[in-house]
Amino acid sequence: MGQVAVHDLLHVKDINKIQINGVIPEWARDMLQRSSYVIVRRGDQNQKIPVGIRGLKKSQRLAAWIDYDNFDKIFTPINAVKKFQQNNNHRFELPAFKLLKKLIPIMKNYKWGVGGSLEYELATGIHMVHQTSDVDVIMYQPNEISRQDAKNLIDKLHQISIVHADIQVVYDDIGFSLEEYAWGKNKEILVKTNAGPRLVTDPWKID
Amino acid sequence: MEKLNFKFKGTEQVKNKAHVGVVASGDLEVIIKPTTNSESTLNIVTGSDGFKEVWQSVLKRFFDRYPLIADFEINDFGATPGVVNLRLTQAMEALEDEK
Repeated sequence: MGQVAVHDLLHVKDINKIQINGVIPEWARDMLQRSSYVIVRRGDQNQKIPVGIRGLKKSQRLAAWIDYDNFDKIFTPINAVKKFQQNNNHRFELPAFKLLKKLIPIMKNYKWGVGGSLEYELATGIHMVHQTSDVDVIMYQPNEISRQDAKNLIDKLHQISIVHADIQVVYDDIGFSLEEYAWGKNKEILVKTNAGPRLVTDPWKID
Repeated sequence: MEKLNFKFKGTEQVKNKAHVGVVASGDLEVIIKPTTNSESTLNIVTGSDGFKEVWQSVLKRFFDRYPLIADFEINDFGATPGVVNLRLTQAMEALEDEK
């Protein structure tokens, strides 16, 4: 089906129909009552959508599944950057938001967005970003870019980094670290797929 | 953030260094160094608290297959057990390449 991509936030219609293994923890119930957004995670998307519920603490993550007819809105990492550019509030003084602002000119030639706590806060308004939050850049790049271009991008990223930031390249159900590709110091690099992680020599040419 | 320490018995002393993985969400860095100890020592710093038993089982499976003796430093940023296992395998392959 593939209507939804990993890192997209889905607005759940009926939170009581979210499926989890075991009993739902209190923090997860509280979060869903504050905001009905869940994040699409990697996994088999054939019957149901694998999602994650995130809490305010980093250790609060819960794997769950929803049916394809149980969401009414998608908020993507790209939507998050657009919303950031169209708004202004005091939260944008936090280092992670400041870094996001600096990324905009650097990433201008690419299709990209932001995931993680920044995406969640931009979607929901819930204060998920902290002083030390990192920035998860999602770069939608189905075509190969050269190692040199990748290196240049990583260098620029490191120059502006006030908090940790990393770029994950995604296309289809593939995701990998741009930095790992740029270095090319190991024979193989790790790619994440919906069927699990793999080591490959060329992340843009996978059997 | 949580710090975990493990020790595993092995039979094969590692002679080289290896460094694989990245500092990125859902990923981890694995650094392997030769040691003069008679067993493997693992120092793990993880952003996801409360997964000691999961680490124990992933590591046990790895050392059952590859009875290495080395110092391991692992910096984890919320990787899944599948990613941890593959990074360990990759580190192992990186050691082989150095030979």
